Amino acid sequence: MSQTAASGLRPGLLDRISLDWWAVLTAVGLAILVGLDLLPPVGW
Amino acid sequence: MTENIAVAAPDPSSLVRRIVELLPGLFLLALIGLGGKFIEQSIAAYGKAHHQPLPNIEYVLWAILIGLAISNTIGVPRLFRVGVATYEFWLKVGIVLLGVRFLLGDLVKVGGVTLGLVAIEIVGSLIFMTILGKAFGLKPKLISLLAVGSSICGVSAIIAAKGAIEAEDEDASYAMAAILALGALSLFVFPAVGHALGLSDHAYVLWAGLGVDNTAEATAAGALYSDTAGKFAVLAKTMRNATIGFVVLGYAIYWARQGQAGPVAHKAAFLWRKFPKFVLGFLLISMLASSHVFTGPEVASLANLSRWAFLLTFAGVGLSTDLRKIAQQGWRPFAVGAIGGAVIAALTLGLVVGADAWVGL
Repeated sequence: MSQTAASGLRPGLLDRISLDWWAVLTAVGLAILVGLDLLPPVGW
Repeated sequence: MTENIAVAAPDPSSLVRRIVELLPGLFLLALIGLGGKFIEQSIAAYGKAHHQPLPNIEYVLWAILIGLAISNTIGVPRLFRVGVATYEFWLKVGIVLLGVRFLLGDLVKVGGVTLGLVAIEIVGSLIFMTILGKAFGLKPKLISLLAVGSSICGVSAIIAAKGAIEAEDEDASYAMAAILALGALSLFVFPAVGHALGLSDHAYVLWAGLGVDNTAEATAAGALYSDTAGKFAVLAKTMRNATIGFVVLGYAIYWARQGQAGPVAHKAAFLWRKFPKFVLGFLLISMLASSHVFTGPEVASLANLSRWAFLLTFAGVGLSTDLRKIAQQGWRPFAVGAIGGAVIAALTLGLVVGADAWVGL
């Protein structure tokens, strides 16, 4: 079973890209949004 | 380590349905994580209001305990399972974003010492687990899986090695159960030992990164001790993860020579396939932060996003640990894992204390 499938996402469109790359894309996407000031400041 | 699956033509409606299916589980992860934060803050506020010095127990432990309580009593209802299973995805997103808290100069400085310790830990663990597994009469491929799981990165390494050495499903289940049980145990043992020995933040988190097998548990064990220094546990663990391809390749070649696994045709392609790609994302974000692409407040926002991703992860760790299933796997693999884990923890503790005294951490 692929990691993507193991992660709860059933085989399909999303499985063209591995879980690792999805994580990288998501994180980089968030970084771009923050860098372009398209996301409000995130608190903790 | 991921095998992509051939797929049918994209169907937007199924994509939307799958995203909707994730929502209940994601909501549960957020609820449990926030519940953990609420308990932590409530205890701190109570202690402050009543002038009582209460121990500061991080939300991490509360989130894991709530998750464990649910998964081992009523169980996680089917509706939530798909979303809960995404916790590994959030772990990786969190690690990539954590790169913003490491400047490349720091990585080179801290990474040199850490890399040396990681190399000693991996070699020592592989040798010790092999000897121990043989002494307990475990099957050879199960020994290989336990050795890989203990020395590198827990479940991911076992899954990667299973395919490469053509191990049986049952052996992989035994090895994963042992590693998961030990991971849950280490969340309680590591901070207690660290506090008892009075380890510095840096020494402790490096020890957690070297000694705890699963990435999620290593991240949690580091965060339990100190949020500021917790990132170094992730660094040490990520370095261990990065070696996965080399160790699994070694085992694949060994078992191919024994005639019990297929030959490895293209070694470079094999290494690339097994390499955890999120490490590249971590380095990219660290590189961008080092180049001052982000302003101070932006770095703070990204670091906070990393913490939110870890919050979802920790809730998922508890919800995904079914102690009853682990108990069903029998005692011998667990005994080998436990003895091996204890010895490896002692070895890595010695390494970290030695490095702290020698070069300073």
